[in-house]
Amino acid sequence: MIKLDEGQSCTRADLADAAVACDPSTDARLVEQVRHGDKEAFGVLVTRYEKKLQRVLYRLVRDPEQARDLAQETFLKVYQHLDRFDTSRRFGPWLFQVGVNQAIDWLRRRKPTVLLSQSPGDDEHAAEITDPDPRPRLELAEEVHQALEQIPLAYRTVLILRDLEGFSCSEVAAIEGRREATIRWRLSRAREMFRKVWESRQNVGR
Amino acid sequence: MGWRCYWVRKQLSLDVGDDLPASDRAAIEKHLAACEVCRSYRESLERSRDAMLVTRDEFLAASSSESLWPAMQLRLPHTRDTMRRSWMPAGAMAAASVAIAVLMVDRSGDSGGPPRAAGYESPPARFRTSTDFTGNTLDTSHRHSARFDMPDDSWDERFPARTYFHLEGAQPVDESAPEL
Repeated sequence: MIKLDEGQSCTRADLADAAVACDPSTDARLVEQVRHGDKEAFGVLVTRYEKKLQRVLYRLVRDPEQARDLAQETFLKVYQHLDRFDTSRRFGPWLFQVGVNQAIDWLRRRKPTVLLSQSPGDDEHAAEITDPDPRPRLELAEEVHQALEQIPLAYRTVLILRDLEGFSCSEVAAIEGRREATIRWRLSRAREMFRKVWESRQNVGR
Repeated sequence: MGWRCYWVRKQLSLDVGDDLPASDRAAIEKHLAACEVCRSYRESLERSRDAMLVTRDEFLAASSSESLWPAMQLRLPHTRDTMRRSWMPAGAMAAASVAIAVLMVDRSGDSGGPPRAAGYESPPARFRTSTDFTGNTLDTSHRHSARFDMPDDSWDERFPARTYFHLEGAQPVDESAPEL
């Protein structure tokens, strides 16, 4: 939290630094400012959440450019409906709820594509990884991704949000719009499914 | 697999991610100490989860470092104002449609007949006759229970017959008889 003395002003950079902690009270304050016409306040919210949102979307759609587009659409949609947002709720879960729904809609609309083990941009991205030999890591990532693709979307989403992105069960429940007990049950099933798929793939590979 | 093993495996799926309540953990550990099959199951759960977690940071290399905000800034002003303006014509049209519908219902409400004269008052029920939707008077002489009092002179001034109905065929009624 940034505490201001009397007369001290708070710059956007200050707010961005404080944003790392994602304090819900500052989110609510920023939302109110946006409602009163302060677009720069919305810019703070965007910079606060864009990286994590893009990452979540990428895990679902597996395309960095598409994830970026979906993230933009998510923020635009949120901006349009900000008047209807209940500020007693937390902004973060609502934002991710909109984003996850956007990704799910996109996944349902797209035509099935053949999964490629090596896409054209991978060599370029591989150079940025500091591992001495990134190939096993990329192969493992691709293996994990293909195993995840075999899990139904509803379960895959919970697995991504909880295990890969580190949201708590209550946050996942808020994002999914479900009860926490439902999320725990889905998480249990999702981990079981992933274990089953992973073990069978490992046994086939041997 | 017994029911206890079944229950334990359900809990193990939560336990590997620290999602199991502490109260259940003691019972799980006690069972695992005695059941090699469930121990093996937990190990395979941990292996698969560890493999998944290795990929947790993979996106960092694939992501762009550019912020979305500069591009979004150009789109935002049009989005919010356009949203506000777009519903206004639709709202005006909806209001106009409702107003027209109300007027039409009001006009067709009583008898569906010809337009009413200004200052028109609906006559008492005993003077009304049946009309079809064009305002033409229907023959109700077969209605034996229909009785009509003779209108007084002021009635003709207030309600000229051509504006709403005729009393053709109406018979004078015995005034001692009760009205309907």
